[in-house]
Amino acid sequence: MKFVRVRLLASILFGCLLSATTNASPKSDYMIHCMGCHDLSGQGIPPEVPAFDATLGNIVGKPGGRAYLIQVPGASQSPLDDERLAKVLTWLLRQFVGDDLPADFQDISTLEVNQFRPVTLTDPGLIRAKLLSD
Amino acid sequence: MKASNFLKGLDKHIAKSTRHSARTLSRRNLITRLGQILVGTALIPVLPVARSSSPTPGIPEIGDPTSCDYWRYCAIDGYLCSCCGGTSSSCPPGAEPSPVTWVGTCENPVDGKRYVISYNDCCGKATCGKCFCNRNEGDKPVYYPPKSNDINWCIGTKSNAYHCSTAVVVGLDDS
Repeated sequence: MKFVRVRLLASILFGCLLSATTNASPKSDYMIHCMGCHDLSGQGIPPEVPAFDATLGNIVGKPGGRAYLIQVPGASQSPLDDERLAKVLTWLLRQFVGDDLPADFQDISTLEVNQFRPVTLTDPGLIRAKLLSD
Repeated sequence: MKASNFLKGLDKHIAKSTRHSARTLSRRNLITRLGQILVGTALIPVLPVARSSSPTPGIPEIGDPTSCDYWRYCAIDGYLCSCCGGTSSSCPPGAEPSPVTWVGTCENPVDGKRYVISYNDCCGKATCGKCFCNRNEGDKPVYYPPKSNDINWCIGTKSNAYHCSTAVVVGLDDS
């Protein structure tokens, strides 16, 4: 009986955790964690704060482009967990880049964030320039 | 017959007022007046009132925006622009809103919902010095700059001089 109670409690807790993560709105996360620099419109303040425009569509289609988006300091160092970071990155790409995304673009996954996030970029600007020139 | 008298009277009145205008006004007067209207109309949008983005319409409101207790100020640290010639969501004349800002969330006591608030600093003028307000809900230490309200957010503006702070409602926090 005690074991059943523990299992029940565990499943309720798991359910709460699941709902807490899946209910997070990527738009709200964008407003709270990204908008302060990139603006509500995603236009940023180039060149210091890059705009979320067709350039991003170009980057995301290059080898290493998806990893770069996850590893830029504003993304990798945000307080969001991997799942929410994946969702907000996907949301902003679809919201601001839209038709300029590669035709075969797929959502950024939690697994990718988990894999690429621990790598610290020492010079993000250099990597960005390299991705754009390739 | 009556209509004819009316038209004659109208004609007489117009003729009289035209002669009066011709005696008292120069021919350039009309051009001057029209010019003033045209220039005045064109200048209204460029009056020196810096505008942050407008608050989201339809939000139930309560409280005094010149008081530190006002619900939108739950994470503000600075002088309230509403005491400095601006409003809770716009800069005073002559001050420029910072495009880079720190963002927090506050609960609206009327509907119990949390709203995303952008604390845009107003820059380019000497410190206002009125209505200092320091509430730190969700504030992080300065070693975590994106979420710290202790730093000067006059970044991306012509001048880094801090004047006062606004609290612009950007949207609903439904996370």
